[in-house]
Amino acid sequence: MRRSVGLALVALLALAAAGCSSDNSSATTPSTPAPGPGTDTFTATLAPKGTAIHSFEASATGTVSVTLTTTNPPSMLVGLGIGVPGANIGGCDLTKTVQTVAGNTAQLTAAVESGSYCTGAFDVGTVGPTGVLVTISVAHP
Amino acid sequence: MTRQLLRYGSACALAIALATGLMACGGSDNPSAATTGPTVVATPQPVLFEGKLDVGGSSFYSFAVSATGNTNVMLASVTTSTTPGNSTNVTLGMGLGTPLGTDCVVTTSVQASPALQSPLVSNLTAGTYCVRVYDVGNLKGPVNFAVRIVHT
Repeated sequence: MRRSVGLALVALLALAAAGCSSDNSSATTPSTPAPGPGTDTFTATLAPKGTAIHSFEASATGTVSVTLTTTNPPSMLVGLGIGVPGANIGGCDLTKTVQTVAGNTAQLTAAVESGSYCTGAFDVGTVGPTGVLVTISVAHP
Repeated sequence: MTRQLLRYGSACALAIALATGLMACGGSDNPSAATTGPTVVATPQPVLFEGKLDVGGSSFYSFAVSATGNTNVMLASVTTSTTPGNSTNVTLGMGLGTPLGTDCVVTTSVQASPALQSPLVSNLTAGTYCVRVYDVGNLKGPVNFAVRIVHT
């Protein structure tokens, strides 16, 4: 009899404890990658009179470096720009632009504060009917 | 008699066990603490003020600040046409103020060239404000501009 009373006590305590948890640790939370410094690389085909734009987030004040790393055909002169996402110029309102060929060092740099930005290439009248494949690297804070 | 005592004792033990278990329930370590609502933190809102500016002209945009905080105003882009590659480094005037009728009364202003950092930063309380962009005598023709405003 004493044993059965003891077992009943244990079972009741377990039930009472199981019914009053306020811990939601089993719930899954959507994982959102935290914005942070990094380097984005993108490749796109630039059409005649076209643009190839890439958006990125700067997580803090710092310097953005944009490098046109390769073009195919090689040694093509194209425009390279950086700005903010907008509607004035094909999705990216450009702040600074240069005309350049591909290379290993950044052709365009800009001081930024945290926020959304865009960068990309545009035809300066050199792109033929088959287009130009461009690869651009963006190092941002 | 012994059996009755045992039954009575068992019932008491069960009652105590249930009471003890239920007392452990609750999400607060401090039962006397008053329940308070969540603290609302105003997230900075970026808006883009785009338009066309003529020689000697000006343009303004009104916006509402919902909580005290910094407002950043950036002259992000000035171009002579909508074709890429026509960015210009011209200096324009930018002012921050309050709307009055159909105008914007500027209280703080700067002259700035296009850049990706805000030359105009002001701590504003909740209310309605405006940003004016204007030619300071440098324009030789119309330009497209984009001003990014980040406010609370």
